[in-house]
Amino acid sequence: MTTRKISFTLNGEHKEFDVLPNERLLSLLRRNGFKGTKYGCLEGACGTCTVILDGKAVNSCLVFAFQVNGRSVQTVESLGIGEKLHEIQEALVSEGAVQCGYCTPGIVLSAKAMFDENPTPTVDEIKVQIDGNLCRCTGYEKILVAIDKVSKSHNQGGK
Amino acid sequence: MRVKDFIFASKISEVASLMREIGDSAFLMAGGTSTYFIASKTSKVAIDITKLPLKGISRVNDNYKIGALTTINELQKFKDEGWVLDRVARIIANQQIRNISTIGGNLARVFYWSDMPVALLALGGSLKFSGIASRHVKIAEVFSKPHSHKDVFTASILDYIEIPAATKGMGFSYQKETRTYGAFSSATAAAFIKIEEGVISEARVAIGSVLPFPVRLTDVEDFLVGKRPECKLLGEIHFDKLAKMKLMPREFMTDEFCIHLIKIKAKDAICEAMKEAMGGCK
Repeated sequence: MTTRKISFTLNGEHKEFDVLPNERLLSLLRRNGFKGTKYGCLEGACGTCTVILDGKAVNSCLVFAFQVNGRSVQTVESLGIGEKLHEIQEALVSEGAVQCGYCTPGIVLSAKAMFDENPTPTVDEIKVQIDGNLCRCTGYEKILVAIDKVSKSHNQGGK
Repeated sequence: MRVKDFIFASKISEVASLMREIGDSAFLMAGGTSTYFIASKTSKVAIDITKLPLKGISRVNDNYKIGALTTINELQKFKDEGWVLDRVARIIANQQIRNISTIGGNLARVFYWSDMPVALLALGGSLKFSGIASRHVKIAEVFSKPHSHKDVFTASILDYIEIPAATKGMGFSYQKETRTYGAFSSATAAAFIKIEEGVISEARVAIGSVLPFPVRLTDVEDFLVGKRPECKLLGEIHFDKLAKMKLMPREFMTDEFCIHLIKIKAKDAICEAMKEAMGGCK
């Protein structure tokens, strides 16, 4: 099987990659150093490989790499500047919503896609948005509180 | 399923000629989330059809026209008075999958746990195909047998789906049992009921997940038509056709439990659809 060239916008920068036809986006990202996108169930159930594709959260384990040709992909590496965390990351830390942290990048990106579309979601809307992100440590309560905190801050003019 | 090559297509005519040219190895793909679950002995050439202009939902008189490449998320978010597919979309898989999966893909690749075929069998309506064999086919006809479904989907490109808008006197319900949240369905049932002058004038009941292919329970439908929509009716349904069907129980379910579960789901769906048709809920 030979590689083919594809190009897409990755974290705001135009990039070109050689991909195998059967390669998944998750594998392409990780072999190019974007390791914030985690290997999990590899069948779309756990959400730890979540990335944002054209503004929507998707499982990179289910998307073939060639499918993102000409599109825009955002990974967790694009959030925060240096030591300064993104507001979603900050809320997760301050509310104690991170334990082992393996699911956290996926949750951050699911929340980010939601806030980009709707800056002030209700708790029910948050639950729907993160229904594809499994967390074995926290029991979800603190994650919901943290994301709701961001929503409330937007409601009070934070964004 | 393994992909040995990929091609991007942006016109229906282009897809049709690619399908002719590539033959059996051609594999139309938009969301692609089902490819993980497709067992294929040979590698495929994926024809990426994401760019085809087959997206969106519009109301045309008493029907909704849904482009084949409309995502499940778009079905979930769409709001209109007679729109009921949001209820089905909301409980399909998880948000990440709903964001990329399309209604066309859900209908083209029928797994026994598939959601949309069951919902659309109950709702009625039709599918418009173009490409090699252009035609308008009733949903019931497409899903009458696995080979009818295969024939129509291998020869043509699904253009759009047409379903009726729910109006006064109509009720629809979709019920699904899963072991865990977002998991594949263990038992699925959907019902559409129309009530005129106090009696059920139209009924469609479909089930899936416990069978290799979704089916309509026509004996149950015949039993319901002409009856008054009362609770006691649910206790009088016999499910004779179901008793003779070859079951496909999932995850260590016994046949007995499988039948029990699907009967409950079907009755729940009929009950909710009757309530809605009577104006009880929406």
